[in-house]
Amino acid sequence: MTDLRQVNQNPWLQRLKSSDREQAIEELRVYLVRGLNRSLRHRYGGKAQVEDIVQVALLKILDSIDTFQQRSRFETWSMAIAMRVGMSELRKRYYRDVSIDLSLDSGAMQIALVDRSHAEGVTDRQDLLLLLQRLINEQLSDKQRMAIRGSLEGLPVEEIAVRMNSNRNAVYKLAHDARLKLRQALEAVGFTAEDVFELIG
Amino acid sequence: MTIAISRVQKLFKSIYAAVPDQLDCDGCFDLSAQLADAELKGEKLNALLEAVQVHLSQCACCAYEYESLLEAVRAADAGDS
Repeated sequence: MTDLRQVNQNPWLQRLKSSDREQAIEELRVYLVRGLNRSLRHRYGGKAQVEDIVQVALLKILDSIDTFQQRSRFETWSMAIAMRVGMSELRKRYYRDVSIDLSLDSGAMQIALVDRSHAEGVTDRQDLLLLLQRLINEQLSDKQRMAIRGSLEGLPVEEIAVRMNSNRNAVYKLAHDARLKLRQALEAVGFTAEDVFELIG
Repeated sequence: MTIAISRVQKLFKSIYAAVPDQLDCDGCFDLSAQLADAELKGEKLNALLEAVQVHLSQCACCAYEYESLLEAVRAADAGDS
């Protein structure tokens, strides 16, 4: 149920619950289109159908209006919802034809360094990469390894979740826990951040 | 699977940047509008919004969405078309 104090306090909520509703929705639509036109035009190939995205977003905003807690401006809260709708749509289309297999059927992960130079330090660098590869294959769970593999392939966490039949929160946690575990393991064998970046650049 | 060195460098950066995170992606999203308003007004961040920043520093997907949100709000407020 809507908190009446909120209706009284926020002009947008007041208007959206009054006879001025249609005009308020139109003003909100224009505001969202203006923001998304600027922000989405150069993301994920820049082929956003902004008007369509805003129509979907407006339905979501109006459906969830009772969850607006006035911790931010109503316009910003609405834009956050519209942005998530737009980004999800763009990502889905952008990665639709990207063929990356995250399954573990293809065996252990291999991190190979293609470096044809004979510069000093290359062997140390290759040793470090072999260590990382071993830690990934031996210390991470299958799902953590899939999440790390997806991120090494450059996939965003939301897209990895789609390919793992999971959800974004779960995949973020898998990848985050995996990174913490790898950090601990690297430090346990004496590799500080400084050591690693000196070798790896 | 052979990985390009630039991706491995990114992985090492994310490994050494990893710190405990109180939020997941949905928790970050729920607070993103509040953080955007605070940042655009130049306000000092409270502990909750600092936690959002910790998540953003470790989740490239949320960071990209948040950066897009800031750009959109700035443009919409300025009346840019």
